[in-house]
Amino acid sequence: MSEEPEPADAALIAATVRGDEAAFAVLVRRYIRSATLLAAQLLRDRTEAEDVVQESFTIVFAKAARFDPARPFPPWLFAIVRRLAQKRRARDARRARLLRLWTRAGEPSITTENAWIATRDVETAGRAVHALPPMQRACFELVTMRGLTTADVAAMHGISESTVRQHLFRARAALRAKLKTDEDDHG
Amino acid sequence: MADLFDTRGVPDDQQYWDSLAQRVASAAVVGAKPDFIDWLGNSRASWIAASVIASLVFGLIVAPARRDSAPPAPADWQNALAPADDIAREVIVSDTPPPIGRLLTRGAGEVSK
Repeated sequence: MSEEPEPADAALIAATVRGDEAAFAVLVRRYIRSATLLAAQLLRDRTEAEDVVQESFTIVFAKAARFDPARPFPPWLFAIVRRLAQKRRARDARRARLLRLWTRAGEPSITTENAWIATRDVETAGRAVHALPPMQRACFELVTMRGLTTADVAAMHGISESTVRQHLFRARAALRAKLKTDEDDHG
Repeated sequence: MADLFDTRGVPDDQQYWDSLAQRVASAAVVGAKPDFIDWLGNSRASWIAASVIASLVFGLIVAPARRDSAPPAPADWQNALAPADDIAREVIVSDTPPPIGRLLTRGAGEVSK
């Protein structure tokens, strides 16, 4: 007995246009993980990321008829996620600026999370990771930590696959160098 | 190690993804269906209907003001609606009754015609 092949994205979109909510649910399940991880990378907040993904799929459902079936679906979805995340980030930045004008808050505080990251190994790794340029960190995280393919990450961030590989290569080299230097320093 | 990255708050287990997908899919379907307010804002028919209603309301506001400022002249209406023959016309149109002699002579003339 052979398994039924997964329906292609274009077929699911066509069914969504006809109002097939079950087909749309399959499409959501297929891309929910990568869309959420992308939004979380851009917003650094899980709740905000979930909101943006929610909005993105609402747009996909509402505008499915406008999707060109000759083109791949993921870049369209991820472009929507990126645009909404950028808008939200800009809005949050405006709010933060306003808040700073009205309060004297905004100074870095010692949070419980900061206190928790107190062991030397985590600190070392953290320094190394945060010293990476943002795109290197993003690609390294998605491929190495989250197990996505370079093709997935390329579509998510709207860059070419070779650029993703380049970011990965540089991130690994930088992390190795940084951790080695630290090891040498501490004997 | 995953705690050091930007997606640290996102759990990576199937149960989470399944429940999130279910929530997102059903909310997207509900959210994408236009409600009455959206229809009002976006449909061409609603804009046409709103324009017609606005015109009617404007007309209702302006019409009484016009009536007050320029009432139709009763004399014009009387002239327009008066009968064609001279005697009846004079009786209807004139504010004062016509002299009886004129009515008699004119009436006699018209009858003799």
